[in-house]
Amino acid sequence: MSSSATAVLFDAPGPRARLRNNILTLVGVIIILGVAYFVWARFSEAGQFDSKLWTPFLDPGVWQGMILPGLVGTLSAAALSIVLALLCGAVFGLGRLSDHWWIRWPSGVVVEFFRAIPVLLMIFFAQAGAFELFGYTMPAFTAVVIGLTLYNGSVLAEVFKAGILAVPKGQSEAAYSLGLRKGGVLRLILLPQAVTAMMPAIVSQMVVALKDSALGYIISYEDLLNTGFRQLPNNFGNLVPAAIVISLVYIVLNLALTYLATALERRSRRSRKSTAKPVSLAAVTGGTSTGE
Amino acid sequence: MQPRRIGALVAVAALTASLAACGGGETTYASVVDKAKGAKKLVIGVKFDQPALGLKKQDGTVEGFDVDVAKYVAKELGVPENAITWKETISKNREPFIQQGQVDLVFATYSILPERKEKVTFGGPYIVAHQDIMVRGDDAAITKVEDLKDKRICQASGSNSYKRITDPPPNGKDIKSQLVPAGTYAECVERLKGKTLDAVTTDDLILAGFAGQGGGTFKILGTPFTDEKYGVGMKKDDKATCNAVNAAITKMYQDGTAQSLAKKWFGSAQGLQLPTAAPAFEGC
Repeated sequence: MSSSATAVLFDAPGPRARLRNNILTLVGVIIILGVAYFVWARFSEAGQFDSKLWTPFLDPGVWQGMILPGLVGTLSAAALSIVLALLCGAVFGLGRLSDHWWIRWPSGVVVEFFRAIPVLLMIFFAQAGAFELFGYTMPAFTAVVIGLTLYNGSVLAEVFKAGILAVPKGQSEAAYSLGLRKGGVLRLILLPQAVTAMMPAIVSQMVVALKDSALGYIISYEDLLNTGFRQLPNNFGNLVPAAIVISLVYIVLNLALTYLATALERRSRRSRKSTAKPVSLAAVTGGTSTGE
Repeated sequence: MQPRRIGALVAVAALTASLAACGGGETTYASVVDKAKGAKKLVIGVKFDQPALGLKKQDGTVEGFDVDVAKYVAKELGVPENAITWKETISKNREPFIQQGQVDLVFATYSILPERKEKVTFGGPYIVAHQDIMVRGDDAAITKVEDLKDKRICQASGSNSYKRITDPPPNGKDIKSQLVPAGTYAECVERLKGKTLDAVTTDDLILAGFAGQGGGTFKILGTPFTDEKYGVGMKKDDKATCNAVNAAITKMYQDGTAQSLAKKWFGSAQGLQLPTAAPAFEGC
């Protein structure tokens, strides 16, 4: 059954096609190995694999005193801003779908305004503005969270709006015909299906928030990039090894975040089926996913 | 809900707010020197990523020439070392941090410039740096500024040092060098070591920090061509603090501390001219 179905989907490659595929695969592997060797050789020539450049990362003091405090800074700012951005996104996303112009227009203005400003400026002006307007010296953490929340919340508002609009119209029409009110249709019919469609875009935006927390350097916020990539290499003269290690930490963080979000969504969905098409983040943000 | 209960809740809320307002307020001082005398503590802004000037260590302490000068000045103002809170200031946020009161004083390779004087008051300078050139230790081809023609020099993000080479007079030397962009001076130094650059040019004290770390990998040419007066930043028109800071700097040179600190932090760098006397003050 499955083999015949497969044959219908595409023609099985013949001997010549298989040979061609194998040759192309081999060429691809050789090119990748060549590039890897070139990078390794250049690094080696420049002394980037000297043990003295890498031994600091075996010192628990370096992790306790520099990398981990930065990691805590990154995670705490990202975690809080992701939660707040999801709330903001939900509020303004639904606001943009409101039947009342006095809710729809302000929501649109807020979303478009904060989506257009670079995160770096938003973080800077959150702190500077608080002082100029209220004479309040805002902590760096608060300013970073505000900047990240406003930007990512605005992008997520568009994601929420697009996700709800991605659910086929027949779903809501059927719900209305059963006597459900707008709130019920939204809560029981549209949102559960929209979440599935929105999940890839939401996860992408969470990753953006995590990485953008590094922009807090403008107000001297102690995050992973600040401590691990600016302070640490200037102690040990190991910029490239530090860049590699910090990149790996970021990769692990982002993979963990993606896994966590996907697992949560899968658990909440269980057997729920969705008729909504997945939302593309590029379509929502106009081809970009970062604030910078 | 009964009106009496609502009234009670409002009263409790008002009481809480007033207590918070009373308890939260810290004493405000007319000047930093008054704060130093009264509170016996200061928040000082320094660099956290500049070897030999201001660098945060893995144990959380900060060290460097700027840090040691700051400790000396603070002690003269009546603040012991353990009562100083160190705050990172980068080039982009020094003025806002001073204006917002996030820091009391800034010792962070803070060059005294006319446009900066409009926003903050400067004490000092406590040292005069000079723009110079750093090359690889084995490079004999570059011995003076003019040798940078057609050579690859670093263009660090946010820095204008390269313009002193490439711009036409009176601001620059009109030397046609190839500019290689980099994020930070640490990256410039890394590229110099990796031979994708021929020279790095900026303040000699900044270069000395990296050269000292390189252990003979680099050398400074010792051909200074600008003056960079490193001052102590403070709130605009805080003349009392400015005068007190200047008095402390004068004493630091008179008792030989400044010279020994300069030797301690920059003595190992080849080609660097260390200060012998206090620089002329800008005036408060």
